[in-house]
Amino acid sequence: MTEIRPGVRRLLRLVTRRTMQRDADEEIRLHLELRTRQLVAGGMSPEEARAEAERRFGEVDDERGRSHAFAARRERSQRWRGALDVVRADVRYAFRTLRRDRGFTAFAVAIIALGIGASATVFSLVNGVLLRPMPFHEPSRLVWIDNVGDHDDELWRVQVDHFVDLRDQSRSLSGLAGYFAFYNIGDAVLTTRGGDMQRLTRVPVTCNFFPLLGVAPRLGRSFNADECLENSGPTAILTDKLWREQFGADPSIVGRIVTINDRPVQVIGVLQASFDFASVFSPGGPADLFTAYPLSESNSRNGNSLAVIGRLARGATLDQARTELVALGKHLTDEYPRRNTIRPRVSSLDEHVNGHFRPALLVLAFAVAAVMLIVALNLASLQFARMTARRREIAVRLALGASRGRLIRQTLTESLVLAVGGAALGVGIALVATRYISQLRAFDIPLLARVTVDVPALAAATIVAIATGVLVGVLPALQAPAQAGDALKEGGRGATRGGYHARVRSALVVTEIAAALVLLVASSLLLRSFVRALDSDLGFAPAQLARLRVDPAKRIFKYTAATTYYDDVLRRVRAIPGVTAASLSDMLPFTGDRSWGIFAEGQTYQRGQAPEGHIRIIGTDYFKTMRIPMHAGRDFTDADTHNAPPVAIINESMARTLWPGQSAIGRRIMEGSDSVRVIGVVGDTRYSSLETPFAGEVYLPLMQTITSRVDLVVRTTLQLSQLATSARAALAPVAPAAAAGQWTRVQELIDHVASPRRFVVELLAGFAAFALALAALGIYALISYGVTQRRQEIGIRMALGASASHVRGSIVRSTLRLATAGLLLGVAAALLVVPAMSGLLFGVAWSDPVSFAGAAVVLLLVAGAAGLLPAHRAARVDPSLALREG
Amino acid sequence: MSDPAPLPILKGTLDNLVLKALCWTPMHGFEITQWVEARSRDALDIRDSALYQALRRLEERELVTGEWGITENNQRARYYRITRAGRARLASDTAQWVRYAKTVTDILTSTPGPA
Repeated sequence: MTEIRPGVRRLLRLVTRRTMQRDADEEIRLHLELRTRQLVAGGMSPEEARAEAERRFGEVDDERGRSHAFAARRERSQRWRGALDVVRADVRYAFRTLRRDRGFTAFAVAIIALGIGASATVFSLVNGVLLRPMPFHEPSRLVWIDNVGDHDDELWRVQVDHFVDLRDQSRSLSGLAGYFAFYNIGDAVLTTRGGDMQRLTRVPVTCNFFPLLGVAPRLGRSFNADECLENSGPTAILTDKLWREQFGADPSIVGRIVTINDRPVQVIGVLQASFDFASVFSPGGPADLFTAYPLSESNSRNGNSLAVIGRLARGATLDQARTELVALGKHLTDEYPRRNTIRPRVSSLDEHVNGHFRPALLVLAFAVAAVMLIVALNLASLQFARMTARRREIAVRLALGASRGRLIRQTLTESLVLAVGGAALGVGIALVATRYISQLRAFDIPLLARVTVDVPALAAATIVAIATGVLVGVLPALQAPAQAGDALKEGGRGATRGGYHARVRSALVVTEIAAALVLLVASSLLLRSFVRALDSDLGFAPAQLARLRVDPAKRIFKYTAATTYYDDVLRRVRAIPGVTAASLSDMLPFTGDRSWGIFAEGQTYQRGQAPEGHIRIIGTDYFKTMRIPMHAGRDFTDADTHNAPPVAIINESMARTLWPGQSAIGRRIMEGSDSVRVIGVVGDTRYSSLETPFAGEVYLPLMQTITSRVDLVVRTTLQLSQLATSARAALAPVAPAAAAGQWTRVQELIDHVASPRRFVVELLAGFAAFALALAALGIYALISYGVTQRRQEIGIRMALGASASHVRGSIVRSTLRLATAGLLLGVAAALLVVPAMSGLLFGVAWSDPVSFAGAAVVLLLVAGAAGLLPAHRAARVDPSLALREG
Repeated sequence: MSDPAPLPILKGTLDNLVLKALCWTPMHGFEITQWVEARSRDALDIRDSALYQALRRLEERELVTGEWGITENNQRARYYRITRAGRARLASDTAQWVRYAKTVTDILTSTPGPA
């Protein structure tokens, strides 16, 4: 009866709206009449009585007005209550039907939850990384300034003198700041109060670095002008994290002297927790404290050492800054022939930080949209099937007086209930997933650490949920029969409209397959790029390589002391059983890079045309340890000391550049003002990324070049923990600070540079798998439903002699027809969409036939499998039983 | 005892009088007037319209409900019935009124003296 009651009430409402006011008048009239009659009975004349009655009543007209207003109010509230009752009844009804269909409900809620969880997570990522402004003051006015090298694709840093001149002469930029681009991870050793050594990463910055960014320290202050002069007493600003972890958040830290690299350093400030240098400028890397980088003569001799940021002046545009700095750079290059060249290229800081990652996130956002589309289509298709199955029930309810609008509203309510349930679960998934992803330190993605599920993300999820609900609800509801008679006549068979329904559902499934194919193609392209990148020839064998920082605890300025220290370390480590080779390097692959101009002796080069050599300073046995092939000449030996003639080993690329077609052995290169003899040629190695082409490399012996940063690299079959234990014992007497350090696998360095690619590949592959599963489910549900509907027909065919395999074949064929249609549509869509992601690909073209064919084959196989199950069921139909059922 | 002038009714008390009237049986507006007049022996000065306003107020707060019925003389009249919430409100208001009246009465009628 709950179903009819609201209808009756609606009928009543039409009556009451008009009658309520009449009723109010009537009530007053009756009162006056009864009062008059009472007074007449008491002896008054009718006229007197009437007047007295009205006097006693008071303002009759006022009361009438008030009664009318009240009637209208009551009428409105009743209407609301009525509407609310309808909604409540609909929701109750939805819950009841959903309870009856537990399997469907669980499935629907699960896929909506996964879909919304995925979209909220990806939206949070996109929002956190791309949309939300960087944690600086007016970040949109910050610019990044590269120094374009001899070739347009070479981006260099800026020399200090040029920095000063650009800063002083630029009018479009209100300020310029920078940091020393070649700071080394872990090169600041903090001696804690307990006497332990802690390796920290120190970033030298220009004096105005924090004020320019608009970052105020939470404690203390930024550097003052005196502290930025050379030879001033060293000062440091700590990150919030370091302050908490090493100094117990000591509020009186400012002014304290701490010991870094055995020198006293005064702490002048602590930064806000929200300032995360690394996540913006060096994702995945650490940054613990900041020291002043003086803009001095000697630092200018360091060459192109500054990474430069600037702030646009009021009213200045990026284009103006671009034009002005290009002109300034040209002028400075011409005016100072002894300095390095300067060709400034200005880009927005946001573009610099996120630019290369934007396409990847957009691809993910697109993938999420596709997944949500599939989820919605799948649900719509399932709802369609349910509505068809419930045709009888619907017919009965129509006959009992339920309106078509009411039925549509109920289906909509049901879908919204599902969507809201799914959304609630999805938000939970998003919270967990986002938290998990943002804590992955393994990924080299800017600003990833600050990604959280926030209000916009949740709002987006809610909107997606409601949109899904409406889409899923309206489509199948529209097929509700227009009139009770039609539905009842159709009976349970649904013969008249059956063909139409099947077509609509087929169209939904075909679209699903197409969307799944696009995702499959995209993820297969990215996967193949990823594999290509990992497959790229590194030039060395990272497996079984482990590394440990072994910088000398005190700065060693004497060659003899350095030689003794490194000899001791190598000798002791090589003696550990299970260590097959060990060497030293100041910069292992993927830990940084730097290049100098390298000339063949006697050769003159145009300014800016000198070949570049990437410099690696290494110990003996380096090539054996890394398994870099030795093509000619010999390795460094213990005899190549600072007393011996200076020697170098170059790689093939360098040799080809300097002496094309000739042997390099015995020739001399100019490294700065020194003439160095080439004693060997080795294979090329990959250094800054997996995708960067090989470049010229020059190896110099550690014993002839003092450096303060040294990695020990070891080839070993030992577990890392075993190695650490043995090495600790072996190294403790000669290198106590290093002995306590942390061993890591060289493979981790490669994983780290591959991480952005892996991140996108994993997510996209996940989406593609999900999409494929949903598409398969859609196919299965459709075919399976068709088989159930056609039991009798199949029974008759079999009775007429069709074999089981024939029936099976016809079902599988119809499945494949569906899949093929989806495939063609999907390929067409992919051809439109996929070229947009060429920027993300490496080693494969967007039109890569293998990816397309592979995706198609996978899809056909999965579709075939999804159709096989119902086909088997059809083949087992017993004709006699099927016919009797009718 | 000569009739004193009718008392102006205190704000809010009329509602309670109407609820009290409806405690026994549903009544229409005029019956309620009669009931109150009979019990107050005309000591209270109540405009009839005020009574209807009270009824609207009570109906809106769902303390009474109104529905159309037929009087003994076969006339259509709106009958009011007290709701469960109405009874609860009457009980609590009555208790409060009694305590208030007693306290004030005690003070006003006591012999003056130090507290």
